[in-house]
This record gives sequence, C-alpha cells and structure tokens, in this order.
Amino acid sequence: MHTWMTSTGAAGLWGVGFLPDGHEIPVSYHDIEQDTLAAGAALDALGVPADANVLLLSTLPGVATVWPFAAAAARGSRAVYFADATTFDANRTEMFTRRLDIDAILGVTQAVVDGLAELGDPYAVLARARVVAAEPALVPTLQAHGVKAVTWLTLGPALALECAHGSLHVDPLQWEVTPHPHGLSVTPAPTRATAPATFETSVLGVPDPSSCPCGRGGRLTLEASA
Amino acid sequence: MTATAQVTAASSAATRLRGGRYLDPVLETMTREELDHLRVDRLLTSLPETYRRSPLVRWSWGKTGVRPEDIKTLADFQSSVPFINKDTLREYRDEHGDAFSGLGHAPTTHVWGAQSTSGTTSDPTLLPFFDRSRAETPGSYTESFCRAYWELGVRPGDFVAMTLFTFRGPVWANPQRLGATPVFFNHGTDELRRLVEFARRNKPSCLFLLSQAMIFELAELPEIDDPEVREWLAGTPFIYGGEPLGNRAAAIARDLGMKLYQHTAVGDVAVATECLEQDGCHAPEDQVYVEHLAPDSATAVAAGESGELVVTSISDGIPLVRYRSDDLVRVAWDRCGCGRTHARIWPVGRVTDGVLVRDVRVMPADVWRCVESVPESRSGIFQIVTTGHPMGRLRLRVGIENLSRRSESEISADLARALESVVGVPVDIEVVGEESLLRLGPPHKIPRIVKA
Repeated sequence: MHTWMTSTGAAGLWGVGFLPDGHEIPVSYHDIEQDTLAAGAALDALGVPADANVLLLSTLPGVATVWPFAAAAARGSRAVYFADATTFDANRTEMFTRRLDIDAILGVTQAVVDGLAELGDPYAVLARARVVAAEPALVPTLQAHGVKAVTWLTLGPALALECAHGSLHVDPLQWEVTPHPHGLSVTPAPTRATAPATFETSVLGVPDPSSCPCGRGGRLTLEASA
Repeated sequence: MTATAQVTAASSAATRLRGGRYLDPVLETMTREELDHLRVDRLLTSLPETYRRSPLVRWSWGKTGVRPEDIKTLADFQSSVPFINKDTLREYRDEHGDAFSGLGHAPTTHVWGAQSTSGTTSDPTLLPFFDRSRAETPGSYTESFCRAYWELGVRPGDFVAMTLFTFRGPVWANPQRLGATPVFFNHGTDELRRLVEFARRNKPSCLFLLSQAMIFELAELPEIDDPEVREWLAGTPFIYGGEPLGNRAAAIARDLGMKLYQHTAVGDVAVATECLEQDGCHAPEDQVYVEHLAPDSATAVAAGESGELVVTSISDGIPLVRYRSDDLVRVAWDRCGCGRTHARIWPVGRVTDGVLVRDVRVMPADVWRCVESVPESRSGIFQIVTTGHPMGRLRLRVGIENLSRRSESEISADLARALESVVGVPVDIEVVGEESLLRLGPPHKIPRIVKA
C-alpha cells in the first residue's frame, strides 16, 4: 500500500530509503524526530562524550535509517562526519580517523573492513577510534585485534546499538520485535510511514524484558550465530 | 531583444511551471547593475565577519599586513586582499596541525561537523557545517541547489531521485527545503533497475546526480524499451556533474531523449547548475563573489574567454576569501535567456590540467576524444601517467572492456594511431581492464592525471 505516492498533497515524507533486498522504506519527518531522540539516547548510553567527533558510515539507501544519529549529534554538542560504507570509499574512513580525533565510528561493515584492508591494516585504522559500532559478525574479530567494538545491528528498517553495559537496544516505542524460529521480525509503530508492515529478518535472538543499567528498554539478546 | 523583453518572454514560457519559474524572482532577475551593487555591498560588509570566523583568512591576511578595516572599497579588495589556494589550505593545516585548514573547528557551538571534498586532485579538504539549528548543507549550497531544482520543475510533493556518488553530507536537505521528497539510491549501476522500477511508478521529477557510467548502463537495461520508462527518461531533468560527458555518453542520452543539465562546484563555496536554457551554469552571485581571473595573475579575463574561477563567500557558508579554485571556466555576465542575471559559467578544465610532452601541452579532453574513438575503450576510461619531469613520450593507462576479441597489442596500436594524429606526440599505452581504473575513484571521477 503506497498512500504516500502523490505529488500535490503528498504525505510529508522526509525521504524514501531501501533495504538491501529492495524493500522501500518511506520515512516521515515525525519518524525522523522520534528516531533522533532515540539515537541521542543511544549515543549517551554508549558513553559517546558530549563533545565527541562521530564518524557515520552508510550507503545512500540506508541514510533514512542512520541519519537520526547525525541529527542527534548536530542537535547536541557533538560533531559528525560522513563516509560511505563501501569498499572504494574506505579511504575516506581512513582519512577521517587519521586527521581527526574520532571518538566513535558507527556502521562499520565487511565492505569497509575489506576496503581498509586494501589500504593496509584495517584494525589499526579502526583502533584509532575509542569505540567502533560494527555489524555483529565483525565484532569478535575486531575485538581480537584490539578494537573496542560493539554491535550495530540493522533489523529491517530498525537499528539496534549496544550500550556501554553490553546490552543491545532497539527503540521499543518505535519497533516491536518478535522472535520466530527463522529470525526476529520487526513491526513498526502504527504512526510510522512504513506501517502497516512486518519485516522478517534472519537474525536469531529474543527480546529481553529485563531492565538495563543504562535505563532504556528494548533489549535484545542475540544467539551466537547472529 | 531588450533585457526586459527577454524576462517577459522567459517568464511567459515558464508559466506552465507551478508557482512560476523563479524561486526568488527579485534576487534572481535583478538587473546587472542592481546585482553588482548587492554583491559588492555584501562582499564589503561580510569581510569582517569572515575574517573573524576564519583562522585561515586571518593567517593569510596577516602575512601581508592587511586588515578588514583597510578594505573599504572594491578597489581596496582587488588590490590588497591576498589569494588563497589549495596549497594555502594544506600549508595552514600542516603548520597549525589543524585538520580543518583554518576554516572552522568542530565541534563548537556552531560547527556540527564537516564534509570532505572528493580529493581527486589532492588531499580532501574538510568543509565545516556551520549551523546546528539547521542540520543542512551550508547556506550558499542550499540556496543555489534550491534555485536549480525549482527552475528544473521540482515542486512541493514531488520525488527527487538522489543517486549521489558518495555519502558526504546531507545534500538531500536541498529538495527537502522545497517540500520535495528525496529517494535514495546507490550510484552503482546495479541499482538502476530499482531506480527504473521506482520511476515507472512514482515519476521522480528530477534526478541528481547522473554520471557517464549510469548512462552506459541505462542503455543496456532490458526495461529501456518500456514506453513508461522512455517517457520518464524523456520528461525528466537529469543533473550530471563530476566530469564533462564524453561524446558516447552524450549520444546515448540524446538517443534516449534524456535532457541533461550540467552541475559544477563554485570553488567549494556554492554550486552552479544549468537552467532550462542549457546555456551555462548559474552561480548564485548573492551568495558568492565571483572573480574570473588569469590563472597566473590578478588580471580579469574577458567574458567568454577561459580564466580561473576565484570565489569569496559572502554568505554564512564556508569562510573562504579570494579562493583560487583551480577551475578553468568561461563566464558570461549578461542576462540569460531564462531571465536570470547571475553569472553563467562553463567548466573548461583545471588550471593544473595537462602535461607537457616535448613542449606540447596535452589536455585530458584531447586524450578522451581519441580514447573514445576506439571501440574497446569507448567508455573513455583512462589516466595520463606523469613522471614529474619533462616527458618525451605521453604515457597512458587505458581501460578496455573485457569482452574484446582483439589482442591488447592491436587495441594499443589503434589507440596510438588515434592519439598521435591528434596530440602530435609519441605515446606509450598500457592497456588494463576498465574495472581496475574505476576502482580508483567513485564512478564519476577517476583521477585523470596520476604520478608514475
């Protein structure tokens, strides 16, 4: 159902992104506002300082999902920089970490690590940052190489980020996460532009209703293979 | 036709556009005399603030002893204010250990980050974002982008396909400011089918940013013969930038009925885009003070001739003053057929483009034409390899398509014949796969001149 597809009188969409499988993700200004609040709380909970330099990595179709982290940094007192989460643009990630004192890199993917490997030692580059949020499969290897890595998990159109206490969180006000044998499914709040829809993922895990020392809900526990 | 009559004609032709043709009719169509008065006034009143904001400017001016209070007239500006170029930025950065080259440090109360330039010709420059209350591109960028989108027909409620080369900053804030919705695609050719499918259903009213590689791939898509797709291609403005289009890409676009509008940077301070008249890219002269000077002096170059683009920010954007962009352009200062009076620029190349071979200056554009003329290298993927010393032979690395049935030596021989007849110097050619060169940069802009 595409209720947003008109010219005059269209819904006030901030943008339309895509998941890697091609699924369209319309995002409203209201969605961005809500996600920016959650992103700010996630950065705080990760212990990213108020005067931090944050490097945000993404592909363009993923911008609608990650932009709230930049908006949260801009609205606070942090600074944010951008590079593509691609192999060929890994040199920009290297450049930023070399020229600036980067506190946090968000969104490291295998493509970025591959691109950095073509330039030299990817772990030495990533270790320049105080914390690196990377896709789950990369985290053990990064940690083994001395990178302070935490989990950055895309769950369909939702993002989950680990806090300083080691718990993975998704914004429970915006996303309902349900476990299934084949993976977690994600249902957006009815106020979101993507609703009504449910996104199936292959990420194995369960929601954890217990409280976290960081004070936020929406905890997820992933199975080891995730 | 008088200027007034031209405006009237242009305006009537554009009445079909919802909301009229101009985003800001007063600013965009004021007479040259009014515009000159405005831009000089903004130049002189903005210099003290730019001086205050920019450690680079204070450092640069300090070397010559000039201070803001010394600059009371345009003549003072032209005679006393020193030039800045990429070497100045690098020198400041190295001397002061300032990654931002003295353009503004982050994070601060105002500066919330930075984007980096492409770094095609040198180390990327970090360009700060200045306004925390508007997490957008700097003012002059947004203003000039919005005027271009409006002119090309983008209106509130429309979709704009964003196929940016890289994710460097919120360039999508520009269509958003007009009330349009950006739709995000990777620039990679593998996403073209998704773009075409979206376009068939939703008809984005503009696309930013097109490259040669995309044009080549578009032509190969099975969906290209779909009448709905052809209709969208023929009815939608496509903004391209990065490098000029080669002959082959231009011919394909023409065959597909696509209307392409050139887009170029105005010295990292603003952007300029062609209007519907396709007669030069409009620079926003109320945002940036444009000078058009001989590359090796402060002498103004006549309209229509090639000169270096020198820019000064006169808005709240990047605090650069008399920045020699290294871009060679032609400039027209007269009123455009669209009715706008702001300067039109035509990119010609770079001041530092070209290599000397046996006292002949060989330009990338000359090489490009020849490389395109050989079937296996028709995509125009090549690099000129320099040694840093006077050269007796032109050295080229040329990308060829993998499907060729001819041997590399046959292809090289054809290329050498074509090149030697045009540039007039002997040529050494290394033939490589296209992919190996395309990996050196984003698809729009591989480094054309590299050191051995």
